[in-house]
Amino acid sequence: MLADLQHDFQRHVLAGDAAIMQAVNSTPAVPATTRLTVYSNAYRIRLAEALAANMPRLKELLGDEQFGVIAAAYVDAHPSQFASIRWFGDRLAQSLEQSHPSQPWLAELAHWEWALAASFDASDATAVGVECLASAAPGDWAELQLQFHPSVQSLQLATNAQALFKALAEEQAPPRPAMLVRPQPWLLWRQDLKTQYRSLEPAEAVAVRIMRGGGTFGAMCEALCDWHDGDEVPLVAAGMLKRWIVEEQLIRVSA
Amino acid sequence: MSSPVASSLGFGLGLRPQHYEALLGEHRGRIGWLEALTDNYLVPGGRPLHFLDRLRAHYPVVLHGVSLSIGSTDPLDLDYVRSVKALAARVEPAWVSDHLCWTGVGGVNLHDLMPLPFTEETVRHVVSRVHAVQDLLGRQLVLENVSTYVSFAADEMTEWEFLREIAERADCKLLLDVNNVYVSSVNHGFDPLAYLRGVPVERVQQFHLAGHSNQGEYLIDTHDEPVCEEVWELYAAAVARFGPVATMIERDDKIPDLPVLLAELERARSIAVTAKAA
Repeated sequence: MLADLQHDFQRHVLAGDAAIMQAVNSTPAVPATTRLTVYSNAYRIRLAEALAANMPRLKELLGDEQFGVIAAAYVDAHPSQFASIRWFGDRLAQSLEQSHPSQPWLAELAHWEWALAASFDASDATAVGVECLASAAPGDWAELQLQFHPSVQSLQLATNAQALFKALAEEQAPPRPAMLVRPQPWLLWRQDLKTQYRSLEPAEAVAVRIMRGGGTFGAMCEALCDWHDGDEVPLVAAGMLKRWIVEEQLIRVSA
Repeated sequence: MSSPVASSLGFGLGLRPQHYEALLGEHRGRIGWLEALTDNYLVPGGRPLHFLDRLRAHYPVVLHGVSLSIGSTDPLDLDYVRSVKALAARVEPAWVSDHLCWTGVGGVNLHDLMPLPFTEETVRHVVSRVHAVQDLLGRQLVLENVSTYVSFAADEMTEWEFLREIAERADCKLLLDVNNVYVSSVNHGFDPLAYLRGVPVERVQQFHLAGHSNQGEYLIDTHDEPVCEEVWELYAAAVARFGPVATMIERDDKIPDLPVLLAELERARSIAVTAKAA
């Protein structure tokens, strides 16, 4: 009985199913339909607000009306299965890829904001300081491996979604949405409780990919030879390593 | 597991990120305790947990969740209960509360506080789940009455009888939301004072105060307005019946600066003093 009532009620909230009507009391002032509508409206409003909370700049770019249409479609297509509403919206970027293929910056902006949120409350871990390098013997360097902070993410954008984000976040007029001449890799992380990001040159993007994938410093140096003369590579590679440490992106350096 | 109501924490506020700095800075010590929304801190790390730890060093904290879904006919989400337990081990809250409602079935979470029919079947179902949760948490649970907009043809008892049955048979405590009593009394046409008289005094651990929005023929519990006069009156009656129970104000939308809420809390304090003396 209780289970039937809950399933009927939920079907009403999700899809307007009428079976619950007979189980709900009406009063002269407020009929059952009005009473049930309080729940179905609140459901859609709450979940749309949750999407907007994770992707505020996407909402600003689209405007309230168009964002509302997209949010409503997403809420209907992807009922939440998360204990916490924090995670609702995990597939909005994919969904926008399908629904708005001619405006790829929308999916990328959703992806970007979702990634920033993930860095914001990713697990805590203590970053290493530069002194950890002092203990590495010269012969160990080629075998060095790195463990990045859980907040570190890299992603590549083919559109100017990041420029759109930045302008809107700074309350400036956004540039015209556009494809980039070539895809731009980005690095995101958290430092002093704040999310940080910066663009990567192709060489550093490859270095990050190798080291986050468990590769050795030697393998990274080898890959950097595609961009730099062999005798410059150790200095370039050491510079990258030091920067990641200063930016508190590394939690372990091991030989 | 029965224990007398813990000595009252006094007057507190719902913890909101907008107020982190002020609560640690210029307003530190101005309020007695904080109610943290459990689900907002069930995240891996970062700023939310950092501030919760720092605030906990200065304030007693209670944890208040929205996703336990104690009345759902889905299996209990044991992972969720374990994550609440882990957070409680970190925060050492004075108590842990959630809502007497269901939030979804069939694996779906509506993220809303859905109403339960007041039947013996529901009482039995909820009581067995409260026992399971209390065993897992190793502590008594505190359950809050929710605002409702529907009542069911199947109802066999009043809401206050339902609350009493569950609290006594599950041996749990109650978080009496005075605004929710008022909202539901208007929406369903019952006497809110009869509600208060029906709730067992020794079970009430905490009061909530909040604002709502008036839709003409009915009220919606929106937590986006100051506490209204009718709710203040009902609060005075609640203090007269239940005594100096830990009281706090919830504001979830249109959140004002901290001093505005502190002034509202002062009003609660003065009403409580007067009601107690009466």
